[in-house]
Amino acid sequence: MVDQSVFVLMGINILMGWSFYVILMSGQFSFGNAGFMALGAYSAGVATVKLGLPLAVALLIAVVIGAVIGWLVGLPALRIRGVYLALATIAFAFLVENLFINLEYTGAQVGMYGMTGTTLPLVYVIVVALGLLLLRLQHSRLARSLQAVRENEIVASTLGLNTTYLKLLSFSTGAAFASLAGGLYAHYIYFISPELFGFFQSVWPAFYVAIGGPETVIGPILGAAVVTLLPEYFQPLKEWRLLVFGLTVMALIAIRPQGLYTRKMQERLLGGILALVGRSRGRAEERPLTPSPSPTRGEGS
Amino acid sequence: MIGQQLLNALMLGSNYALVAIGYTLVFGILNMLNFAHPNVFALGGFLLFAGVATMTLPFPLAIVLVIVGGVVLGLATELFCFRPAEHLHDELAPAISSVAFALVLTEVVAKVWGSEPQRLPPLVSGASFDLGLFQVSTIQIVILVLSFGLMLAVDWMLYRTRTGFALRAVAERRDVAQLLGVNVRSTVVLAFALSGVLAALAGTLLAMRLGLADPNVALSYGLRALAVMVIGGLGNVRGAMIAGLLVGLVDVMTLAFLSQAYSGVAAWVLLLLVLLFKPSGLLGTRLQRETI
Repeated sequence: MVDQSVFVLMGINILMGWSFYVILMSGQFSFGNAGFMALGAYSAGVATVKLGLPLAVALLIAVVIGAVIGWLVGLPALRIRGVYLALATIAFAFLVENLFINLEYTGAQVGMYGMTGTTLPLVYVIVVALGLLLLRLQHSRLARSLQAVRENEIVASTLGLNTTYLKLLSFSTGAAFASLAGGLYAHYIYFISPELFGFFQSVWPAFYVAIGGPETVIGPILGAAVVTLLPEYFQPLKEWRLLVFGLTVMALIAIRPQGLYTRKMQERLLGGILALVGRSRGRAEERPLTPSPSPTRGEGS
Repeated sequence: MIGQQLLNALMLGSNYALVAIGYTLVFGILNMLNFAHPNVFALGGFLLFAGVATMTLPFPLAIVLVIVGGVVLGLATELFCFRPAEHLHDELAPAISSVAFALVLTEVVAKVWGSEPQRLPPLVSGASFDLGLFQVSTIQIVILVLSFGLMLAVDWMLYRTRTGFALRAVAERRDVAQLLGVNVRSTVVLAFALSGVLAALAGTLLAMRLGLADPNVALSYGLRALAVMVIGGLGNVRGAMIAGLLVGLVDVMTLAFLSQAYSGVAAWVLLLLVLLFKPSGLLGTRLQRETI
């Protein structure tokens, strides 16, 4: 019933969700990720269609361009933060959209076509690899430094953390994620035009993160799955489905404003799994069951 | 020619200012973005259309309908999008919920009136006056008088009435205002109602100027007013007016002397320049300096 293309788009949406999540890790909001997505889509498209490079190289180019431009755009993050940075990113996305509307080389308003090569396995290999990387980093020194910047920047800097560098790093990594997603997207839908990367494309990643939960790597995956799949399952509602979808999202956020999947849930879940594993191992070695302290208890705080 | 452009800039600018004041009322108090605002703005035009075209009400009654609609939508935004996440002090959830509400409003407009602009019947009959420098029609005078009257009314309310003091006090320091006996809850609700009315009326005035109710104004004019808010200086109604007129002027001039393709970019470029060089906004307030 649900088409394969929906799952490809879901994978790309997961990457977009992570692009928002990674930037949020240092406490910054970006409502302009469609701008980076557009840059990635167009640069990868130019690489394969106009320069005849293989897709892998094109995606790499997209990642590099996303990271570099993200770094440059993130530089004002030295001066502004919070909602002001969010507004600056909205402005950035509008300017990028306008750039491609006026750029004759990439077909201006009409857009460019001819990009192929993105497949379901390719998207999910990338999603799984980056997901494992993010999970691996979740309890790293880096992630905790970012968390410190998010919670209280002044305290973080007195602890000796280079907050500017950390914020730039998270911003440019997020931009690279969005750019990569754009490259994959362009080579899946074959035809791209500037209007694909409008304001709503910037806001969707924030949807995934807000719905799924902004605290964990898993959250944006859940959010992307819900937002991508719900309209498909609402198909029988015909022309009412977007309306129902909007109301559903409002209800979801009203009921669980902290997101579907929180850090607390993750700790409880992991604790449960580890306890189960520990217990069965204990039984296999025929040792008496002793109440051992949960191995994750000290880890999560 | 220049005179005519200046008149256009004045009308566009006052429109931006009205929408921006609506944003700033909510943002000043909650420090949160309300993305449903541009869609309430777009809906304002359609409420006018419903009033004068569908129900064939006289113009003043149609305005009453727009005001009631604005209040209802403002209150609905507060109740459904912002209140549920209030205890979390999280900026993301309410902002996203308001985007979802914007989606719902877009769909409602598309269901009821279709996705094409609707032409309004002629509202005010009357001749055009030739003032030498430019020509001005009766409806343009009506729009200008209403726009500036509304702005002055908001300014008076905020700086001269008890309600206005309460609003500004909550925006300045929520906890202190509460200690001083301001009812914070009802002040927040009031800010949303007021912001909804301003958006709906601004939408009506734009529809009157364009002669049609257009669903696409939400993402163009409506979002640009967000830039106007920051350019003027957050929580500063007078700043919003000046920034609105400035952006309106630059917008009209780009359209007149550059090309259609660059229209609407002005607001965003100005926003970036202001954020880089004078982050507190043109008429910066203490509020914006501190939160930036």
